[in-house]
Parts: sequence; structure tokens; C-alpha cells
Amino acid sequence: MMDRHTSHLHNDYVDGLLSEKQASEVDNHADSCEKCREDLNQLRNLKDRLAAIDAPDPGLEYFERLSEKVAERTHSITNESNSKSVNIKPVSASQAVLKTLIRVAAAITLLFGSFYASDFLSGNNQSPNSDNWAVLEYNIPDPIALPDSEHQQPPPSAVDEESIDKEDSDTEN
Amino acid sequence: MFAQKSKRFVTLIDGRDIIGMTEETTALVLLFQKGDRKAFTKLVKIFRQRVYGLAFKMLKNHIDADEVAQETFVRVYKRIGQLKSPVHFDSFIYRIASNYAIDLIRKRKGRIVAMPEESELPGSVQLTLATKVTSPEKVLENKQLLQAIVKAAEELPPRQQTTLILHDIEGLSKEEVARIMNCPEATVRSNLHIARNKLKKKLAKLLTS
Ligand SMILES: [Zn+2]
Repeated sequence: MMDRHTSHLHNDYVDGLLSEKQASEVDNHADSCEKCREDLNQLRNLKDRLAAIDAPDPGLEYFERLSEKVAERTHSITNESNSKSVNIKPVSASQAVLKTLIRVAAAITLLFGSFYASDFLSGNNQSPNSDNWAVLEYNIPDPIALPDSEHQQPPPSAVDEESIDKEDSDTEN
Repeated sequence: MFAQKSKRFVTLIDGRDIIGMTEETTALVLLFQKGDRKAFTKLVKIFRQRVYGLAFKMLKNHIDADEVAQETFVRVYKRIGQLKSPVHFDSFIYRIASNYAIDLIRKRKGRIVAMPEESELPGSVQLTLATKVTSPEKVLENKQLLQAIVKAAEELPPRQQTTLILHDIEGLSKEEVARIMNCPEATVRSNLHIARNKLKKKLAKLLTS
């Protein structure tokens, strides 16, 4: 190989986060390295495909019904932390007949069993903490200031087998 | 480069595109915090499609997406007083929605749901891949790639999955994702790279063209 592979820079490259110097380093290397060129193409392709994914539109009728359900469900609730000023007005949202308009759950047919898994990149392009959730201390005040109290931690057994999804960053606050 | 989703609100302030909260929405949040129920109703209307869309992308079925959407707004209603910064209402609502969706993903995991064949569902709702191609082969190829991407993404741990969905599918910035997921941007970046690299490895053959 002429020079070092640049795969560790490719994610930032496709996100436009590299300096001009770094970006041209990637470009120049890719000109002469098929492996990195291919990796960049795959990454761009993946990113484009992901950006094109969209949820279905269940239709205005569904959304109107959703609004009604929310109105019904919040009708008798007093805002927890602002109760003194919450002024709850009666809602006439309980129309008797609501058409069941929503079709059944979606099916995502999962056809693919196996893929060629190249070992390229498996070793050297990941950040030091690899699959682990950052072990970083996160002391920046949360601008939303929303305690994740509703987000209860599952028992360890319920967490991903590989335990690569440690919820460190969920538990602060 | 990568087009922002058109369904998101874009407003021009000082010549800059601000995606997400507009002054109008912020004003509604303030009214809502003062107890104005009509403002809440309007906010539900403004955000319901986005919340449903995010939930659907995370859970891939309508029933769960509907549950997340409903529950999210109920929780928003209960907790609006905790939101210190009304301009971040969108992150607030996304956080509530994605946390609830993550909980559902965990609950659903290991429980094998028999998915009916797509063809058996005449108006079935499913994720779609915007495509400009016209040949039937290309359409099939795109569909297969979408299914493969969705399957591979589902195998990611929930928070990696969520990071990928918020950043690469929803088109949110790392800063926004960090706020929603209450973690440093470095964590978002790292998890995003891990998630993409896993997908790339699994889908190498399909992504090469
Ligand atoms: Zn190379």
C-alpha cells in the first residue's frame, strides 16, 4: 500500500466534518486504494439509503383520531409540576363512533439471512471504546432538564446480550 | 448534500435555516406551560406526524407507533412543567418518544411476532424508500436493500439504533441527537460510526454497485 488507509476518517468524511487537509488526504488515498474507495462508496450509499427511508403516512383521519385520544387521555390529568396554573377545560372528544381506520401492523419482511461480511474495517477504524457506550462523564447541564424517570432501566438480563449497549448515558441526571 | 426531510419545519431567521422549532411553536410551548390547553392541542397537531414517524421508524409497525405517539403526548402533557427551555421542546418530545420506543423495543425483543406476508396486507403500512428508479429490477433491488437495511439496523442495540435513526434517517444534527439522548456529542458520533460500520459490514455486497 502506498500510504495509510483512511477508513477511520470515512464516517466524518461523508458527514462533511473533516478539515480540507484531511478530506484531500482521503481523496488522494482513495485515488490509489481500491479498498478505501470501495469503503467510501459503500458508506455513501448506506447514508443515502438511510436518508431516503420514510415512515408511511397513516392519513389525516388517523392523526385526527390520535389528537382526540390524546385529548381524552389528558382530560382529567393535572400537569404534574405546574398544577396550580393548569386550566383544564372539558373536552367533547368522546364521540361515540370512531371508525377503525387503521390497518393492521406493518410487515417488514425480513428476507435476508446472510451477507458477505468483509473483515475490512473490523479492526482499526473504530474509536477506542469500540462497541461500548461512552464511558465519558457527562456533566453538562441537560438543557431539556427532563429527568428520564419514565425510562426505567431493564434488568440486566433484558439488556442486549452483547452488553454493548450499556445505558450509562441514560442514567445521569 | 443530503436533503433534509421536507416534512420538517423550516423557517428563516437571519438568513439561516432553522429546522425544528419556530418562534410560533415556542410561543405555543410557553402558553401551554401557563396552562393553555388549546396551545397543547395545537402542539399535538404540529408534532403528531413527526412523533408517529419517528416511532414507526423505530418499531416498524403501526400499532406500536400509535402507542408511542399517544403515550408521548400524554407524558408531554404531564411533564411540560419540567421543560426549562421552551426552544428545545422538539428535543424534549423526541426524547420522551424515543425513550418510550426503546422500552418497547426491549420488551418486544425475544418475542417472536409472526409477521404476515406483505402481500396479505392490502394497504399495509411499511417503511418506504424514496426512489427515482423505474425499472422493475431496480424497484425490487431497492426493496430488498431496504429490507436488508431495516433488518440489520434492528439487530443493533437500541441506543445505537436510535442514534442511527435520529441522525441518518431523521436527518437531525449530532447536537440535536445528543440533546435528545442526553449524552455528549462524542457519544453520538461514536455510536453512529459503530452502527454504520456494522451495517456496512453486513450489507457490503448489497451496497456495492
Ligand atoms: Zn486504503
